[in-house]
Amino acid sequence: MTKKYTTNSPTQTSNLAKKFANSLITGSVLALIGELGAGKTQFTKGLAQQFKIKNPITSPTFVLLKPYETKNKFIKQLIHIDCYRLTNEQELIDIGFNEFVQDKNNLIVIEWADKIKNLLPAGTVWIKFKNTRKPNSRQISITK
Amino acid sequence: MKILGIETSCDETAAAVLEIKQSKFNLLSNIVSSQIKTHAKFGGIVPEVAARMQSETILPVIDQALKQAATKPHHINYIAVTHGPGLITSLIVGLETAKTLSFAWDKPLIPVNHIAAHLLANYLSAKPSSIKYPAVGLIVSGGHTQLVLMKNKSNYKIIGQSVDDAVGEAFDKVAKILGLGYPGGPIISQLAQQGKANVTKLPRPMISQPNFNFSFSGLKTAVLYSIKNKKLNQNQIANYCASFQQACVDVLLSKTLRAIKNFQPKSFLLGGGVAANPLLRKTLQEKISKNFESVSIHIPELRFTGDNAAMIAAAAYFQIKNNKKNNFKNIKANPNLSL
Repeated sequence: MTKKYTTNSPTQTSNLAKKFANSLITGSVLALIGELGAGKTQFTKGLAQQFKIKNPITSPTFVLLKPYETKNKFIKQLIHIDCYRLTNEQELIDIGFNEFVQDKNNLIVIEWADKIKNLLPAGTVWIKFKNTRKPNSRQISITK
Repeated sequence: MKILGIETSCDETAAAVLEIKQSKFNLLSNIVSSQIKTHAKFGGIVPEVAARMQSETILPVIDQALKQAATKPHHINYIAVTHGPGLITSLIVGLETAKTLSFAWDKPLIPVNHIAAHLLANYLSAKPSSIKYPAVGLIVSGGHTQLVLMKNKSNYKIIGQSVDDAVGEAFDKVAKILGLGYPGGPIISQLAQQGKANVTKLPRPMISQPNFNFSFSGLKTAVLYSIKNKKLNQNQIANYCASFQQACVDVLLSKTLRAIKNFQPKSFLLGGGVAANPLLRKTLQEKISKNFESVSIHIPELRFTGDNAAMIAAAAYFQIKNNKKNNFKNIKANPNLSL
C-alpha cells in the first residue's frame, strides 16, 4: 500500500517523519530514496526527534553508518546508513549490515537504499522523495 | 622516545613512527595505505570503502612504517591508536590490531580522539611553544565541521558545528551535481581558479545567526536548484566551482572570526582534510592576522591535513604525561566519540 504526501518545507518533512515514527515497530527497515537534497536526511532528523535522540543527526555520508541511542523502550538504537559512496553491496556487508538488521532492537534507516536492494529484508518500507517544480516542495510516498 | 601511531577511522589505513627527543618531534615514517602499492602484493584493487581491505592492509602498512623508520618493535615505547569517532567496523580493525601488538610487544596503548588529533597535527610542524592557550580550533573534513575552544592541549569544548553535512562532504556532492569526479575537494578548488566567484549568487547559510554553527546541506541544494535544466559549459562550471568554494570559505571565516572575537584566544588552529584547500588557508591566514594581530595562526602542512597516523602519534604524546597507566583491555572503539 502506498500513501502519498506533499511537504512545503524542510520542517514539514521532519514533521511528517515524526507522525510516521509512531506507526513503526521495532526491527523495521526504512529504505529512503531520492536525489541529492530531496529531504532524506531531513526526514531522518524528524524520526530522531520523535525517538528523543539527544545527539544531532548529521549526514552519515562520510562514515557510512552512524548509530544513535534512543529513549524508546523497544527501538533502542536508530542506525542511520548512507549508501551514497558505496560501489557495491559487499561493502555494506563488510561493515556489518546483516548483524545490524538482525538485531531487532534496531530501527534501520538507509539513504540511497536503491543501491543495495538485494540486501533488504522482506517487509522493508520504501520511502521515495521527489523534488517538485517549487524549490522547497517535496512529494513523499511511503510504501509498506 | 618512539611512538607507533595507527589510524583506521574511515577510509584510510595509516601507520607512522614518531620520535620525540627533548620534546622535539621527529617524524620517522608516515604511511597511508593509498600511497603504497598493495595491488600487486595482495591482488585486486583497493576499493574506496575499505572496511574489509583495511584488515588486509593494516599489517603491511605498520610493517612499512617500522621499516621506513628503521625501527624494530622493541624500540617502540608506546602504541597510539584512534578509538573514535568514525565508522565502527573500520575503527575496530585498527584498535584490535593495536591491542594485539600492545599485548604481544608489551607496550602501553594510548587511545586517541581522531578530531583532537586533527588539531594537534599542528605540533608536527610548529614550534610547540608557539601554540599558546586558550586556542580556537576549526576542524574541516569530510565527516566533521566543528569550532572548538581549547583551554589546553587536552581540554576541548565544542562551541559550534555543522547541523547537517560536513563541508568536505558538500564539496564532494556539489562536484557530483556539476558532473565532476571524486573526491570533489581538489577538483573544485582547481577549477575555481579559472572561474569567477561573483557570477552565480549562492547563499551563505547561517552566516548571520549569532552562533558558531554551520549548515552546508542547503548550500548544496542551492547549487542543485540553480543549475536545474541548464547545460553548463566549461566556463560556467568553473564559475559555479568558484562561487561554491567562496560561499564555503565565507561562512567558515565568518564563524571563525566570531569565535575569536568572542573567546579572545591566543592561538588559532586549523585541521582536517579541507584544510588543504588553498583559498581557505590563504583567507584564514590573511583575515585573522588582519583582525586579530596577537593571535598566532597555525595551519597544518598539506601532508598532515587528510587522515594520517602521524597526528595520532603526536596527540598521544601529550596524553602520556597526563595519564601514565593504560590498560589496553579497557579501551573500546566509540563511533560517536565526542571531544
